Amino acid sequence: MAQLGEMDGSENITAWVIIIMIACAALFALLSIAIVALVTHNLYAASYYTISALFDANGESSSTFIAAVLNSGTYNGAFYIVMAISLLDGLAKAVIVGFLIAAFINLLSGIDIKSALDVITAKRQKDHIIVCGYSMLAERLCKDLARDNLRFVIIDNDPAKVGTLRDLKFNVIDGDFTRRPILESASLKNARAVIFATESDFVNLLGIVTAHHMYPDVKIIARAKQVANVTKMQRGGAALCLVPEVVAGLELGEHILKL
Amino acid sequence: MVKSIMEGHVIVCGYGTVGQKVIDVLYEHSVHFVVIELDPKKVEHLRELGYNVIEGDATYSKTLKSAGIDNAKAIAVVMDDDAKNLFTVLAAHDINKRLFIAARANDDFVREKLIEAGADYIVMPQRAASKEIVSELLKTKA
Repeated sequence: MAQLGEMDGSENITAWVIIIMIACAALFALLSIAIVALVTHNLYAASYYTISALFDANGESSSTFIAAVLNSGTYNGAFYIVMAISLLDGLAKAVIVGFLIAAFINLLSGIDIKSALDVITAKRQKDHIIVCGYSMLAERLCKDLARDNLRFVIIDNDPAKVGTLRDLKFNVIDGDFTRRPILESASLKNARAVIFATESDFVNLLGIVTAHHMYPDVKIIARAKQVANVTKMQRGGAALCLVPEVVAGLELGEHILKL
Repeated sequence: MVKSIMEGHVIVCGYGTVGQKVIDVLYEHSVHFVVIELDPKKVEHLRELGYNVIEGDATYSKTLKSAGIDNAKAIAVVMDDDAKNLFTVLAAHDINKRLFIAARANDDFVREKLIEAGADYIVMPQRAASKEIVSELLKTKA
């Protein structure tokens, strides 16, 4: 998935389509002027009325163009030729305007509007929770947060996961959470807590250090795979660091004791 | 083979992180237990610690019987592999219907299957961790 502000091939193609359409419009106009000038022997009138008719400028339309040419005094008949030229103008105008509108819509649809909207929404969040990395733990966590009406923003750089999360109507930021601008775009400054939940202890530690250095007051919660890494994560700035398997083992042990 | 006098004990299948914590809790409260583990290195380590260990595959009835499943109070099936846990739960339930079976599952689909197979209590690491995190977040009201 393209990062914000990045352009892919489709936008370049659209730009070329617009350029070609404008060139065609200019070519049509020149051709029209040339034909009308040849028939009427008046280059100024030909240019003025052709361009006016083509763009409907100054309230001029094809009919006023015909009337003007017929009344110019320099024309010696052949109404049908003028009519044909006028129709050519109208046709060219319709085709060019149609293509331009289509190209413009295509250009707009190429912009990652969803991504931009997600960032705008995330930036306005306050007292929210930032979930970094959409792992199995994060999946469970998001369900629990939603159940308890806690607002959250997810950051992940896997396009497939980001797409799925957007389909689920989650507020998701596509990016690498170990980078400061990405955490800023999730409004880390105003967050209640940030949770690093990936399967990699190293990536989680990078996130912890980055977030703690940016805003030391924001609570950091992290998941660790290895028990030995819990202390390192706590030293890095994590207020709570847990290994899901340890929590599960303790819970199960306590339950057996009650038998 | 576990001492035949053992009764009302707990069988722990798998000495991974979950199994380790279960054992810690049981040991701390002086509950008798037997560990079934396939990895010879872990078996050696457990023997050095002075624990009752059976080296073998917990999915086999023979291994469960040698851990004294007929007289056991409960079994904790906590291996990393969901499929192995399911097979072990089935085998344990077949041998001793009165046994309390606690098992580990990694996803909701397996959780349901384990219950259908005879498990009485399911623990899911992700769910347990999520619960802890949410309770911590609720404490941190702005």
